[in-house]
Amino acid sequence: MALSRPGYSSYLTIAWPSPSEFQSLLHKLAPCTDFFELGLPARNPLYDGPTIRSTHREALRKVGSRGEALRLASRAASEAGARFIVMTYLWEHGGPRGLRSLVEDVAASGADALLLPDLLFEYPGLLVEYVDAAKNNGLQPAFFASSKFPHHILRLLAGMKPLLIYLGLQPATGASLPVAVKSNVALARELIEDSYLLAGFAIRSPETAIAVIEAGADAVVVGSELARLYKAGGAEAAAGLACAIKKALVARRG
Amino acid sequence: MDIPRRWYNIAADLPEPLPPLVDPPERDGRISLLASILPSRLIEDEYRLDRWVLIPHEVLEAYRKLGRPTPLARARGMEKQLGVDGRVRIYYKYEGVLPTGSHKLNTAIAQAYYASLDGASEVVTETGAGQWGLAVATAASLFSLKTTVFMTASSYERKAARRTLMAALGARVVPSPSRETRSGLEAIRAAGEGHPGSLGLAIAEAVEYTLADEHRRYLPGSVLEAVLMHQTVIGLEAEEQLAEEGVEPDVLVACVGGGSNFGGFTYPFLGARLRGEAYRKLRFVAAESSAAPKLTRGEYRYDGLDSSLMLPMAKMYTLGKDYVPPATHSAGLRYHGAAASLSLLKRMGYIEAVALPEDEVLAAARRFARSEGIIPAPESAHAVLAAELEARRLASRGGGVVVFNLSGHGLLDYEAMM
Repeated sequence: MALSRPGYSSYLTIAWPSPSEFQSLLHKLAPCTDFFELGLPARNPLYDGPTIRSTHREALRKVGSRGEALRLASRAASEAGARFIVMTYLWEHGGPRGLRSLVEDVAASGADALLLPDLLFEYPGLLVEYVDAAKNNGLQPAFFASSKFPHHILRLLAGMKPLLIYLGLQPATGASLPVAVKSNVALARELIEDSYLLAGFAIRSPETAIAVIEAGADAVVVGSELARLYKAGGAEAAAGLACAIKKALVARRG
Repeated sequence: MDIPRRWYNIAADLPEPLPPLVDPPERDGRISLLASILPSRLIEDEYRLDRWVLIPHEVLEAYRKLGRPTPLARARGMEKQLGVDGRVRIYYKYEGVLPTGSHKLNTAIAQAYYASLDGASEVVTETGAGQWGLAVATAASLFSLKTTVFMTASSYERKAARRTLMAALGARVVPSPSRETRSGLEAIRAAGEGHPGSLGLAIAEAVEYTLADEHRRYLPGSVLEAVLMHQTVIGLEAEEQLAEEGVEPDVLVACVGGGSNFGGFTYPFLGARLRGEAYRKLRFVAAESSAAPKLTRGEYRYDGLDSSLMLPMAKMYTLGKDYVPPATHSAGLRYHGAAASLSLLKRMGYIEAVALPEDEVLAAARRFARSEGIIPAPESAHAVLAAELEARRLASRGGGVVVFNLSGHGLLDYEAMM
């Protein structure tokens, strides 16, 4: 199963701002979104910035269990005809002990992949077990890497034929620091060759998205800015940005 | 030999990915705040995927003007004094020849230059023994910037010479805890006026003071990966100098406060080993103070870089962000944590650590002074003592080569020699 190049992904925290609003927001974004990244509400979303952290805190109050959250994600995506991957932090699920049941639950939800941002930073020894579990359950592996990452590990990940490698462009989601984004993306592209490179963290406009794609990414994902726009102007405002980015990417592809 | 043209970023070669800086669970937005605190180019350096980073022309010129490359010397007197001559060769890379007397200038120059690129008018920092504060004051004067230094109270009293020199360079030196910041006031309220200060607290004060004016930039002296990267000029030069001597070391030794001296000296060698290119049997020994033994007695976990969580948290060996070490002559080693990359490499067994008591360290400093004619800084004397221990060990096993970084001289630490 291939993802479109260039591609656009919307990030939403499952059940935020409420289960029903999450569903309608996803539905609204779906026409302009190639695939969704859906975050399981977390107690400590380690690598997220303030905006996404607040969505996690709010969502946790609205959804009772992992199963409930995954059923909601599955239903919302299915009704919108959308593809999705699930993002969550492994430590929230008991670390290594919780890996297998987590993979099984995510696979049962109909997701294409399970993205565990803390896998390689906190549990690097679990890499092979994660890949095996994913494949055995019909998922494709997906990996998260930062902009300060060992080159040999990026090459190793690319060799595992993942659905995607997600490069965090900034130190945290929504943070906008003066990082050398273009050169980091270009080098990551060189290191992972033709693996699918998804870039995210602090993409807020079609212009930024295009710049990141031109530097070498295959797709961009937007999360914090969608949440901010939704809070300020509702689903229309969030969809406006998603569709503007998608349109810019399509226009660039010609 | 000439000065290296590039810094080395070990993150590109680490055996495992470096756990990133994160916001504390109870304090969002610390990472975003870095943009208002640090020079922009320093943030760029902190988050580089590249293995090699070009040193800006202006920084290279300043390095050259101020005395780089620094010498690598054979410590024949030390070998003889230890009774290992003929079996063990000891070399030291000497950063004390730089104008401020320590390695700290290597990153201070880069950071002050970066602050000037942002249009800053003032740079702010903390200092323990005063080596970092003096380096910042010197670098700031090269780029026409004002300087404010929060100096740990115990050192403010003990290290009057460096305090005076910082002031001579135009810096305003404030004892920490101070009454200029909320962090300082809280510490004074909690512990009273006799609080000796700590680097973690001084950092919190410096950051808080920086945030009060957009034309200020905070310059960190250690711990951040970019700072360690700037210091790799030391190791890159040493590698070339050893090759010129035809020497392959068995052990590299350096002292550890936050890790910039140790990382700067050893990382080029460690990187070559991690890439499988050289130094397969080389050992790396970190000498820390028993007053702040984070590598030997700390926990490996996320913790604050400063006591008030003004900055993000790093995954590192730590004694706890609120740890207040006893006052020692080696104020530069009193930090509660060690840089994330250094901590990771220690946890994985690539780096060994030893905690050394001050009385033995100062005795080693005197022996070194009498055998080599250089009075080492108390911090650097930790490396001297660890190098002695390694030399004796190698001598008992047939011989070898010890190389250590003498990160600074102790001419301004004469009270330690009394």
